[in-house]
This record gives sequence, structure tokens and C-alpha cells, in this order.
Amino acid sequence: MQENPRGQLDLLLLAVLRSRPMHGYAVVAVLAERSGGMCRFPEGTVYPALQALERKGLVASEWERVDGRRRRVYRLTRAGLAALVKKAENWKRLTRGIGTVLAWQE
Amino acid sequence: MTDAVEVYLDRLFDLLSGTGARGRRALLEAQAHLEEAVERGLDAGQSREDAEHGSIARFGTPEAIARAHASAGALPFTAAVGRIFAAGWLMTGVAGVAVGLMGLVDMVLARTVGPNFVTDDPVDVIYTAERCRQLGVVNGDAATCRAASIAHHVDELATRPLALGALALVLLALFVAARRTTALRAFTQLPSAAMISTAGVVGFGGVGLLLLAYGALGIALGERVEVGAHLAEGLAGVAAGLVFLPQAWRQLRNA
Repeated sequence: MQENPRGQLDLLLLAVLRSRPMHGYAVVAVLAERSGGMCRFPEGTVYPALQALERKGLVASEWERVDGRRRRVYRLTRAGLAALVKKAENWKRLTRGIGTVLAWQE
Repeated sequence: MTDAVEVYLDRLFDLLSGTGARGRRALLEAQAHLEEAVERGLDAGQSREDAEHGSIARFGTPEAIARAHASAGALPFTAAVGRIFAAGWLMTGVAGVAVGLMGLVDMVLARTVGPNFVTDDPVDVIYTAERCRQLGVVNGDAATCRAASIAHHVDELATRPLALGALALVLLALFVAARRTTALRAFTQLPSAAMISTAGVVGFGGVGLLLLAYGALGIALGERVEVGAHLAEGLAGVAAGLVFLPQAWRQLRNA
């Protein structure tokens, strides 16, 4: 199983967008809120990651006016939902495996 | 906005230059994000200067953001190889059709202007009886044998390229069919239209013009032998280049 920071960021973005379509700033805010500040990375790197997900067909986006400001709003696609389920399952397996290894140390 | 965000966006604009629509979108999103972040900072009671510097610090350096956009836009290795393969497939097909066209022009020139205009044997060549028999000349003199030899060369110059051109048409038809087949998509996705069309115009058209100039120079110098072959090669190259010209022109005008 392969998990790298890019893969984890993709997983986090897909998970955040599952709840509702939102623009990049809102994605960052929700990520910070849900992770209790644990997921810290340069906020600007969210946008290239979102665009890469869009090129893979996992999210779709369009310009909308949000609070009087023109924002690119992202939403999860059906393929994105399937990818999220798969990535989340992989992540859970990985963390279970790591947990099992660490349990032997206690 | 005060200077800090403006300076940041100017720097990001410089770093994203040449990235087209993707870069423009990245810049607009960065601007909207920073504006909102600054507003939130002001609402939270920060000074504008602190709000701007804090927003920029959290967003990441322009260099890091530009690098992230560049790497996110980079094609995976297999996709890049697939595009090179597709470009090679298309270009080989077009080149083959151009060779076929060259054969056709050779044939027309040989029939209208004369076989010597297209090809010739060296003046000092000796036609043995065996060679003459191979050329289908029995009991003929050297002049007859020479004419048969030249006709043979013309035939080679016309029929072989025409056969190759026909094969190339099949290759192109397969390419079109493959592009409509989802399972073969990885091998038929071409690089950008601008790249392909510019390479086609410059590659085929450039070589074609050079060969045409070479043929024209021969005529200007009074040569009347083998000039036609260069003209045919040049015309075929220019014709192949012209196939790509409209697309290249549109792409360059809209770049």
C-alpha cells in the first residue's frame, strides 16, 4: 500500500467536498476546523491539488459569485466519491496495520 | 488591499507566466483567497498590515505555490509516453502520405515534362547485355537501354512511394479509429494542438521549402535533369506542412 502526502491531501480534499460543494478558502477552513488544526500545509497548495483532482475527473468546478466575490466552487463527482471510498478504505487499513504494530510495543 | 498582497500577486503572476489559462485561474483563485483571508483578519481585529502578512504567510511563498501548480499540471510518465507515441503515429502517417504524394508528382512530371526531368543515369554508365535484358531490352542499342533504365527508375520513384502512401493512409485511418476507442485512449491522446501543429508546419513545411528551393535553383542554373525529383519532394513537404498551417495559425493567434 502506498501513502504519500499528496495522496493524503487528495483524500482530505475529497472527504471535505463530500459534505457540500465549496470554494478553496472554505475547503481550507473546514479542513482546519475538522482536523483541530492538525492538518497544516500552505493554504495555496490546496488549489493545484484541487485542479489535479479536477483533471482526473474526481471533482468538477465552476465560477460562482459567493458573498459578492467571484469564486471557483468545487464539487465531488461520482468518480470522486468512488475514489474517496477506496482511498478512505486504504487509509483505514494502513492505520489499523500501524496500530497493530504499535500495540506490540506496549 | 495594500502593497503586500499586490506585491505577492505580482510575483506569483511572474512565476506563472506562460502557463496560459491554468496560470490565470491560479492567480484569480489566489487573489480571491487572499482577499477573503485579509477580510477575516480585519474582522478579527487585526491591523490591515498584520492581516495581509498573516494571510500571505499561511498561503505559502509564491515560489512554492508556482512549483505546486507546475507539478500538479505535469503529466504522469505513462501519459507522457502515450502522447509521444500518439504524436509519432500521426506524424509518421502524415509523412507517409507526403511520400506517396511525392511519388504521384514524380509520375506526373515524368509524363508531362519527361523522365529525365525526374531521374537520370550517370553519363558514363555502361549498359551490359545482361543489364539490358533485365530491363526488358533485347537486341537494343545503348540509347534504348538507357531509356529503359530511366523508365525503370521513374517507375521506382513513383510506385514505391505511392505504395508507402497507401500504407500511410491505412495507418492514419487506424489512428482515427483508435481515437474513437476508449480502451486505446492512452495511446491516442496527442500533445497540445499548438505543439503538434507548429511541429508539423515547421518540420514538413521547412524541409519542403528547402527542397523546393533546391529544385528551383537547379532550374535557374539551367539544369534539366533530375530537378523534378527535388521539386516533387519539396511540393510533398510543403503540402504536408500546409495541412497543419490553419491549426497552427489559430493556436498562435489565440496564444
